[in-house]
Amino acid sequence: MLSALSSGCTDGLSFRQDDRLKIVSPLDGELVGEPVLVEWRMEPRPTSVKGFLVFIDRAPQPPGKTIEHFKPDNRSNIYESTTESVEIAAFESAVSGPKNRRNRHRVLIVALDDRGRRIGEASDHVEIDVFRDEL
Amino acid sequence: MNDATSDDLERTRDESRARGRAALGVTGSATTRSLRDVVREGRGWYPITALGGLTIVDAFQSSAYSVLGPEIADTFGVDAAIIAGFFALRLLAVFGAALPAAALTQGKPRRAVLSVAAGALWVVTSFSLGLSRTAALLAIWFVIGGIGNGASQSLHRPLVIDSYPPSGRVRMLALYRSFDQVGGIGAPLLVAGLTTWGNLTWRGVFIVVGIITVPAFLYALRLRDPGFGTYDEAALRQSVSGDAPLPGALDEADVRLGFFEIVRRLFLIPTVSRILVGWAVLGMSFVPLATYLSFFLDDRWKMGPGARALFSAALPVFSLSAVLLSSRKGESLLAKDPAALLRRAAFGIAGGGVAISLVPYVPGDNWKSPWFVVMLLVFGSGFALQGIGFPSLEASQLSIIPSNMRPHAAALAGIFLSAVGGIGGVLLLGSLDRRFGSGAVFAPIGVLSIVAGLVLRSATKTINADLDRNVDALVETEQLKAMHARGERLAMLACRGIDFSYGTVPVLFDVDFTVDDGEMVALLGTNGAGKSTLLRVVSGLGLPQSGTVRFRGQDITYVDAERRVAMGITQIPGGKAAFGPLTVVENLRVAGYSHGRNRRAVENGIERSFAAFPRLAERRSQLAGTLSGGEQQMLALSKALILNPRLLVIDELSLGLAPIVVGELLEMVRHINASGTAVVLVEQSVNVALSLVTHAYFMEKGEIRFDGEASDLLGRADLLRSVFLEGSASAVSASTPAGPPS
Repeated sequence: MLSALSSGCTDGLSFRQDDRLKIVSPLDGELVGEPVLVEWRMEPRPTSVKGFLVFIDRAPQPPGKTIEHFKPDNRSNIYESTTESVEIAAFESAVSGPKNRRNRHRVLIVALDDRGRRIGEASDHVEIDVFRDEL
Repeated sequence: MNDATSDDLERTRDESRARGRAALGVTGSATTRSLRDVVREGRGWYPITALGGLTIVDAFQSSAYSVLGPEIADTFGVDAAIIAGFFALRLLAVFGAALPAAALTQGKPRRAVLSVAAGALWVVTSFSLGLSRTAALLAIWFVIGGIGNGASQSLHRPLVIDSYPPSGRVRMLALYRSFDQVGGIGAPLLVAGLTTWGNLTWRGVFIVVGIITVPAFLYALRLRDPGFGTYDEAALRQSVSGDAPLPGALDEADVRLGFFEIVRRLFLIPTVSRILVGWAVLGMSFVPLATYLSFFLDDRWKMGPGARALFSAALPVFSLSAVLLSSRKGESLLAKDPAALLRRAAFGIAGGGVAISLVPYVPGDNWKSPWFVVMLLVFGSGFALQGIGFPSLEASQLSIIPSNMRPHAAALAGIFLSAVGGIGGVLLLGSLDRRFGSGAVFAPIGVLSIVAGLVLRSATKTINADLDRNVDALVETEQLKAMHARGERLAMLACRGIDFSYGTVPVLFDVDFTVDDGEMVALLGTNGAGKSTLLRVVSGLGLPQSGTVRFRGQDITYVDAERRVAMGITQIPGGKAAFGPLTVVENLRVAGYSHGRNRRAVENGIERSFAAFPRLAERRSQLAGTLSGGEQQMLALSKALILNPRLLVIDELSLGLAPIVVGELLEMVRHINASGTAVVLVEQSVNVALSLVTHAYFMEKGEIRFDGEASDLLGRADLLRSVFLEGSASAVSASTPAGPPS
């Protein structure tokens, strides 16, 4: 096992958190109103990073895959950006689950290379509560 | 009547029972020994610490699975539902592995080596999880890790029990549970620490857990199985008979219960079945609690993941303290009266649940509020009460079960708690959570805990009787050995204290019934007296609620009917002993199946049958359903000829048959008996039965009312009148051997 760890079989696997990619706004657990401006930083930013994908309440593509991983009719709640921010006009409320958690959303971001492939296993996410009248 | 009479057993039963109870740790005295003495007499500190170490790393693994699920999903780009599916698969593996692991210990004490193997599995799975490149691989390692977890559930506690004398049973189980609590405290802290301060990903966490698991595994490598019941059952055997084999008896391996026989037997123990129901009800409330607790702390007390981890780590501190402080008292309760220990378990579990159900009523809406401490104390008191209850419950349950069945019982407890109860709880509490929020799930926890407590309390009525049954069965074997050593002859078949019910309708009451080797006895009685039921118990078609059935010295009470045929017991059921759609020859070949592949033996048996009953030979290709009643009974007796049993049990041979046919059949019965086969003849017709036998039993309302010489029974008009017409007795006395049925 140790030899496996020391050999090439760990290539591409992340054992330590990659703190370079960080969502800076909104903060984790924050109560926000729509539209929501999601902002992030990647410092230092590798030259290979050419863009980002933001996922709302859904899982990202596996490492090395592009957005083509998802079928064309299954790309809702995915936002692409070449800058370090994106504005989410509206969030979909969950139709089931406890009322006080139906407007809780998970925002997740991954970095892309020049061919649109997800770079490594790194990602960052926050959970936010989106203000609604019934809250 | 054989020399080893019921009186002999009765005379010493109380004395032996007291000695047996003491050997199992129920001394009747509240005095307890020091833990140091217990450990010194047992296998030292090593087994408990080795198993404890494995338990702690098991908790680390389980905690890592549950806490890091979202991060794992992000890495592989799979939905949370997929990870939930992995958890479900893992749970299936846990439940699916527990009983097979117990089955692997049947006949050979392999609990230690299997426990170590589970530890090795955790080492491999921890590293492999950290290195998994695909979600599918991760799922496979999840499942493999679950197999190790399931195995430890069924093996660890029985191993703890057998590593130490019964005078320290509750404390050693409590100590083992303490390690579990330490794991419960350490696991969330470790995962939170590694991710928050160590900056590790979920992969890094699993690698570190693997590294921590290695020393625990290496430390456990010296674990050795002490053997089943080393400090209780084996010690008792040694004291009674010196563990000498019973000459002429069946081999112990021949009567050793198989997997399904053990599980079936466990469900027949009233206390065990009640406790399992208790575990299930308990599981409904406490298994889903872990999930809803996080939501509750988040929603109501605004606690983030780190704070929630700290809270989860604080709760086991309360139960750990309670476990350590109360275990000695539990020990004295077990020694004095197991029912008192079970009452304590019921109180602890119900009280703990009620305390936890009060948590939502504590004011405050933020963890910085002063009320938070009150909430923590209320929650903690609930955990503390449970900390008292659980080890008491485990000790109560496992103490009344034969040592070789404890792994199965431990596995069943886990399955009922987590699978049966857990799934039910998720459905119940999940709907409440969705409708009313996380605070609403606490009220049913109180109600369910009270119900579980009441169920467990109901088992206090049966636990002493179940303990005595276990002791009696154990002592009886040893007494038989001792009696044989004194030169006394043993019965070939001995049923002792048989109680039997169809559902809730009791049919047999404390029935004693013995048959000597080569003897022919008649079992007589009214319709519905329980004769056929007793035969079902003898042949294994019915399992008694209590009592023992011994054949050739060995306990076969819970051995399957088909195995009893191979041992030499054959039953001819009344009026339905032939398969109508099969021909005569086919019927006989079917009967020969118990000879395995020995076709020659079967064909020889068929030829012997045809020689004995030429009419069957003439109808060899005729469907059995088209035979006359007498011919069908001839066919049934022929089956017995093929099997050549040691004991032939015949139910209602003469019913509805012409006298001349009855005479023919009885002649064959005499012939079978003369060749050395013991025969039990159940008959409504007194004159038919008593013309054949010298020893008779008479049953009425599920009890044996007469056991003695057949000629003496003829003088008991009070008995015979209740069954037959007044004139039967006189008719019987004048009957000829092949006389007509009454």
